[in-house]
Amino acid sequence: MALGIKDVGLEKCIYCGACFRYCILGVYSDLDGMELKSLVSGVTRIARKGYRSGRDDRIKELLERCTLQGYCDKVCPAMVKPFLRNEIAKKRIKEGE
Amino acid sequence: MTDYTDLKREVWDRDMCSGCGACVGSCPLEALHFRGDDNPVFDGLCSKCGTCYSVCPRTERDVAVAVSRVPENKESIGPYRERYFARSSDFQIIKRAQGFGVVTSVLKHILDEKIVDAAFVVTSDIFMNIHPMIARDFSDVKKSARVKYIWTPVLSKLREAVLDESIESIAVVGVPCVMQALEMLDRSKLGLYKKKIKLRIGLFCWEIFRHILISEMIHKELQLDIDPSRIWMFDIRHRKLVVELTDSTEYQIPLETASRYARKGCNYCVDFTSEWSDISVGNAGAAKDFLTVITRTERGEAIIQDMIKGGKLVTGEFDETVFSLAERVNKKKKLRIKNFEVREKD
Repeated sequence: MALGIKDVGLEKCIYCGACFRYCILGVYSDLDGMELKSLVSGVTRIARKGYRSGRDDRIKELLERCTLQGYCDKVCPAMVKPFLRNEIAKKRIKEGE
Repeated sequence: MTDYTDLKREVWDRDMCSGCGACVGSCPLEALHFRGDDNPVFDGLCSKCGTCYSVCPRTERDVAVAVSRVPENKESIGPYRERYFARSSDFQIIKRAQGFGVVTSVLKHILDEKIVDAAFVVTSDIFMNIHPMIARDFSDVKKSARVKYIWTPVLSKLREAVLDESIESIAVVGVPCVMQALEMLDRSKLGLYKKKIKLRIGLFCWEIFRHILISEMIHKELQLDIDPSRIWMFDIRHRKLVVELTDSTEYQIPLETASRYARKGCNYCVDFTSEWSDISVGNAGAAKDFLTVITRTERGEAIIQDMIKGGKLVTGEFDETVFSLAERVNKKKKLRIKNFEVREKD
């Protein structure tokens, strides 16, 4: 059975941004702390509620850097599953376009 | 939304920081660091996640938590299961370690028996520079066997142990503020860290000394110029700080005098016997040639019982009258609660 949004553990998220900051590909190293937080919030919103063109364009653009390597799951201090969150958000972006 | 600026304002700038290192070791973006003897410094990115604030045992909210234990335990040593007078049965350990080798033996036991994969301990180099260490086996533990009474941020190793070294189960040896921080960690959302802390070994502590002041203290109070590399260990006996050199020479400084060189944050600690630990260990209230051991949780009690049954710890007859010293000191330390009240009025 495929995993869904309930399996991500979003209620545990502390929005610290470590999932993106420590991406093994280093593709988010240009973002500052609050940008990382906004990115987590945005991706979470898309994963939960779907993608809305205009409002979520910047988040979509940033999420395109993610190639689903999965290292984020290892570094999340709250034991959320950011990999699954990102995967769901990517699907919802595709659906919303 | 809290962040390190709240911690700075409420704790660091008021000289309340205990130096436990929890904020440094748990910051998800590795932005907090200790550079010297006082408070952590911020250098990096902050996403205002509030982690540092949530694990600090000295914040406004957590002060209330700490305070709430005071009335119920005013005259006791906190919740416990059993109390023992104990020492190691291994004379090699006793010879090398301090405190009759109890903590060293417990660490040896839990590492040998694979109860934990590693332990956070404190070690020093030959110049008495103290730093936290991740002990993986008994050879590491031996390096930590001398009690230092000198501050080092034990929990700053959290991230390194969990993320860099992928250690699955950890024991922490530390003073009461470290145990309090672990309790805060346990109440936080930091599942990655809290699930890996399997055992808390708390040390009795009245206060802890600042490293940069050791040479100053020895120079001023003893009129001596001692190379730190000649210091074998510190001990506290009969209200004196005992400085023992490598050639076995001993010097004593009255505790009241030595207190001037303690961390200021210790003024806000109301716990002498490490009430938030699984196993508490200390000199106070122990019979001659033994150490006081208090088990506070089922897990802590099971470990001590296993060690006694396995002949790894020797116990003496428990004497309430002798033990009452620990209770008296604990009661006295709880009077520091008034320092919070003073702070509230600031």
